[in-house]
Amino acid sequence: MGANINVTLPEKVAEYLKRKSKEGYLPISAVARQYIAKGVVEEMVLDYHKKGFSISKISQLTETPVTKVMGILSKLGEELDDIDEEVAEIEKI
Amino acid sequence: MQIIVNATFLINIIKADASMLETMNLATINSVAMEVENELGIKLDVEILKVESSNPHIPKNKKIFLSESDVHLINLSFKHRNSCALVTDDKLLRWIAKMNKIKCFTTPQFMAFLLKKEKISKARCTSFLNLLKETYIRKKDIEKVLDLVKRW
Repeated sequence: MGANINVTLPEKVAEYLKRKSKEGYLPISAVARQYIAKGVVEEMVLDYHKKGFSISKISQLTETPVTKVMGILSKLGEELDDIDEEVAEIEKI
Repeated sequence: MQIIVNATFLINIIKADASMLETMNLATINSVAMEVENELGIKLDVEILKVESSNPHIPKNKKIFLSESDVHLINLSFKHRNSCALVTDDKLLRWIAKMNKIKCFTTPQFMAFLLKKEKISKARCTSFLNLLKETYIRKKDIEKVLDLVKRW
């Protein structure tokens, strides 16, 4: 059971949601819910990542598949701090 | 050497080129296999290892940042650290593995390792790494491994 939250949206955002609602033959509330849920999940994933949680733990905490968590984190453009050192290690094997 | 893998590695392999799994002898724990199978709707052909307890050092303040599967993988890898490697793309898991002297690879590094050990060809390794760029969590890491592989 979710909570009922009333929000006032900027006109342009409301227009966009109305258009999407018509295109998808869905109630506007359902369309808005999808966008909000997507945005909030992404925000939660990024927040937990910033705090240092493992991918598997983030997946559990946000009830989001590991694949999706990895997809969200891939947008950050990160690299390992020690990648040069690690690559040099492989050279030695 | 036993190769123990977590979900990030399995997902990377399956999404980039599932046929690559046939060239490897991989092992994992049941909870990881179940997670990947449920998410991707496939049946994995990997060895399932029993969860074993051991005593790796995991800083107290880091324990809450790990899932139960993460802790099981660290315990198992630590117990067999002289004869196994852990493959994961998770930064925290890598950090704890290295702290406990567990050999650890990321997916791109593991591909370079397979090439070095002549388990896969250079063409296959390069082609896989290029496919992996589409979905990988840290694309810049792939570029660095590709640069290395090209020099071999």
